[in-house]
Amino acid sequence: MEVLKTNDLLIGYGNKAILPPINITLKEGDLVALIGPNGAGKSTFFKTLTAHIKQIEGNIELMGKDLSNYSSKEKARLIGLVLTSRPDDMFLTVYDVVASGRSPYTNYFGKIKKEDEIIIHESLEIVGINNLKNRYFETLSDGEKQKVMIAKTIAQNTPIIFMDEPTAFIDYPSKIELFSLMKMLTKERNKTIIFSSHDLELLLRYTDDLWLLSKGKELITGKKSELMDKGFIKEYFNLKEDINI
Amino acid sequence: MRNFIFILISIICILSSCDDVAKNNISEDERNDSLNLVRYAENLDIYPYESGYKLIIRNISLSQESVFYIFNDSVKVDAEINNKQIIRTPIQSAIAFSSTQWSVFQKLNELDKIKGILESNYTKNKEVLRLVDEGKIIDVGTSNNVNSEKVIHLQADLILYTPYPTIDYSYLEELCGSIMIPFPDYLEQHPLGRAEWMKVVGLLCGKEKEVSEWFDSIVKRYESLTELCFEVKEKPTVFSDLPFENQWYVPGGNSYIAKIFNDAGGDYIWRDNETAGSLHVDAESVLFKAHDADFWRVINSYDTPFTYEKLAKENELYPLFKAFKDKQILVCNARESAYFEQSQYEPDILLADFIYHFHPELLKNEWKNYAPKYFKRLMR
Amino acid sequence: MTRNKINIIKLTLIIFLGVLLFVLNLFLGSVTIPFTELMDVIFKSRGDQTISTIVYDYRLPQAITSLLAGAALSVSGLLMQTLFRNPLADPSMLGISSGAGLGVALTILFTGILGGEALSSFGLWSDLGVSIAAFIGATLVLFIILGFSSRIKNMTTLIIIGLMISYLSGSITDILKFFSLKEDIHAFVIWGMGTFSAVGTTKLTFFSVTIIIGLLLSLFLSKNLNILLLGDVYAENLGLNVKRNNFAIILISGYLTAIVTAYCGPIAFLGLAIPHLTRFIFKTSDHKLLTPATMLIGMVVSLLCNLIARVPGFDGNLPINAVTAFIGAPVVIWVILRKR
Repeated sequence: MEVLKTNDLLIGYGNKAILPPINITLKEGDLVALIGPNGAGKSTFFKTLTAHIKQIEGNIELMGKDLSNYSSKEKARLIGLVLTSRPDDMFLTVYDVVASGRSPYTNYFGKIKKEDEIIIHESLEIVGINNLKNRYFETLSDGEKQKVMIAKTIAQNTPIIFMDEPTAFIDYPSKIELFSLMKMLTKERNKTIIFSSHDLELLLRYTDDLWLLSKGKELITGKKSELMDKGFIKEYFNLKEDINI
Repeated sequence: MRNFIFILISIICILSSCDDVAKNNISEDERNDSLNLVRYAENLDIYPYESGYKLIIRNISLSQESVFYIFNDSVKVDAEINNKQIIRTPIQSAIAFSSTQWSVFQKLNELDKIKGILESNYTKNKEVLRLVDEGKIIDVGTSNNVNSEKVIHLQADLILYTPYPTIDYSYLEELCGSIMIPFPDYLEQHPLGRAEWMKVVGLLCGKEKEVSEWFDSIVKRYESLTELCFEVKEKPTVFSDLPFENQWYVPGGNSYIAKIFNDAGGDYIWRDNETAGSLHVDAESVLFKAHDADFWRVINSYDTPFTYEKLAKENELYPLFKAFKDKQILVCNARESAYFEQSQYEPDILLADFIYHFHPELLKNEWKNYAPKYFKRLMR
Repeated sequence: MTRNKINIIKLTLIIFLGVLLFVLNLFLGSVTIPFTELMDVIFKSRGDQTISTIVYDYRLPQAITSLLAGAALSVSGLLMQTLFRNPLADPSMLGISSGAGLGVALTILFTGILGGEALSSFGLWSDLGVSIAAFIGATLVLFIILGFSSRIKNMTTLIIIGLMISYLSGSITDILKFFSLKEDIHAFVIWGMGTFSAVGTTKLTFFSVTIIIGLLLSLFLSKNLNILLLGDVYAENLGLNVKRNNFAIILISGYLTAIVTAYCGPIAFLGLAIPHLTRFIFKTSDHKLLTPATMLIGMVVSLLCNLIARVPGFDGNLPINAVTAFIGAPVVIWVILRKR
């Protein structure tokens, strides 16, 4: 099933497009890595796809319906987000953060019902941070914090999840954990995940689909093996030899 | 009569003890209490000095004194006092910062000597307003904000100013070279002491005799009125002023107005208090102490009719006072009566006003048909 | 579950303390009222008429004003701190208090000038009430801020605009003061010191109803405030309309501040200190608990300040602003040093 599709999408600020028209299609269970140098437009692309800024032209279809036709509450139930910025409030607990993922489903007072409680618990389990539940968010390590934010997004229960550099600033074992977690979410839970990353070696090992972005140039999309065969990867990264995966 | 003598003695004691403190600072021969031409004002001494006068003004704190030597223009002055502050009278021009100063000039028909005043828009005095309009008197600002350039331009012989602890006017002396005479009349606690400051203006205008007679007549009337109330047994209780935002600032027990209440045979609610200035009192204390007071003195300024109904609307605590219920509020409309400009020099009239309300039966003979000038009972 | 139980115990203790302080506010003041006489007045509705007047017409409205004003300012401060995610934010931040100050300055100082007399020194306020002027000034600034907030997303910009409006109204106030009589300035200074005693029984109903409406509305914000703690982008992703939400927070916070400032003067420090104190007592960021708890602690501290300001047994009273700062400043320092 098609989860996300763009038709001749022009992105940028104001009227100035920063990339040629983009045409992509994402299906259920896809795990896509968006690769590109800083300043190429990764975050503009993400912000446009998650409806934080408007596109210049073209349209985005989410679950077969135009993105602009969704209410903000509906969007909150379809698109999950993991950012590089994190909450810094002193008394925010892990539970509080994960529970906030339920807010698109709760009533006006944000009452957590029994089924919400179950989902929150499950989300903590999936990410493997049940033991941190009552800790203050601020006291966690960077890797733990990232897991909490992912647990929040799982609790949000959206078919599609965007992650902005989820593996930045965390130690190597945690990076591996995160990649396998993403893989598991797409394969076992049929989530569609798009993430950006600079951890080339790891992402090539864990992902099948790649989006290669460079400044002002057309977005290159495709399966890892295809792109490798066509020499795109070698060209893109200015590598002398092919990487062994 | 024994009371009278006792009070007189104690007043003299208080006055002389104050003088002692001051005298220790500067020991000069010519200071002799019996020669002092001032009897009631505590911050003012006037001594005959050679063919003129020596004027001593204690400014705010007792340790700070200003001394001026006053001689008529026609008199030759010794070279040895040349380095001191000499004022030749009658003066030609002056700037008066306070209405309590220029009102004496006006009374003495010497208003043409006044070249500048402050806050002219606050006075209702027609003559002064006309002179300001005609440009014969220049408005030089407010007490917080004196326009130095206008003051310099006027080149007055003298500047009469009201000293406040928070405002420094000393720069004006340097700027315009006028002699600055402090006028801390508002600090006097005795009503006659306040009035006595008229003598300073009298000296400056060369009309010391006239003023002295004027003052003596005030003293005479004031004392005869006080005497009327000596024997009074039943003293009506009285309290004073309106609060702002329920914060009450009332006159202290040693204040000028408390003294007048007492002399008029009244019993001031805070008479046991020892402050000369004003007291900050919690509203519930006022309610507790004054709720059954017989009289309530209020100074106000208003255009529209001032009524009990209006008062009640302003603060729901007011109708709880007995003076309100009995309609015994004594109001002075500062707009009509020029209270702030003139009442200082009519302490006898002020006193008579209160006797009229407290003990109407005592006003006999010359006072028989007296009608209050400043404080009138609010009827409706 | 245990955390919940501890919180319930804490809340109960705070409510108990509040009731105790409320009673003490009725019991203690400048006028010493013997206990038995007070009981007579309260339970048997007899006894001295003046005592009953002092208790019912003066101390009771004052205690209720203090309680509601304390709750309102504290919640208002909490809203500001969460909105700006800045621990130093307080209700005065958006210039609302100085707007109220300007309104009052215009009435006191300008009518003084126009009327040709130092009006204020005589107490009569004719028809232009201080509260009304303060309210107009505060609401005006509030609308200006709201106008900006619906246009800009960046909260730092809004803080700067608020600060600038503060400076502007402050400077106009200073100019007015410069041209005014000492007596009028004195009245303005009295207003600036703040008091809970100026509301009185007649205005109390209006004051209470408006404040309670604001407090109830603030409870509806809890969910959105919680989401806001994650940051604007997360909040928006979770379905929150950030601009509209900011607007609502500023509206309610400003509304509460405007009313309290109008009736009680610019009362400092409660809005800054109480949210901190509450966070450290309950160790939570969850506004479903934090907002009501902040109200309660605000009530308790405000009642305490009012009691201290009245200096039981003495004639005069202290300016409430001096007392709140005296209590509030050490609390903020203690809280910040102690962290967790």
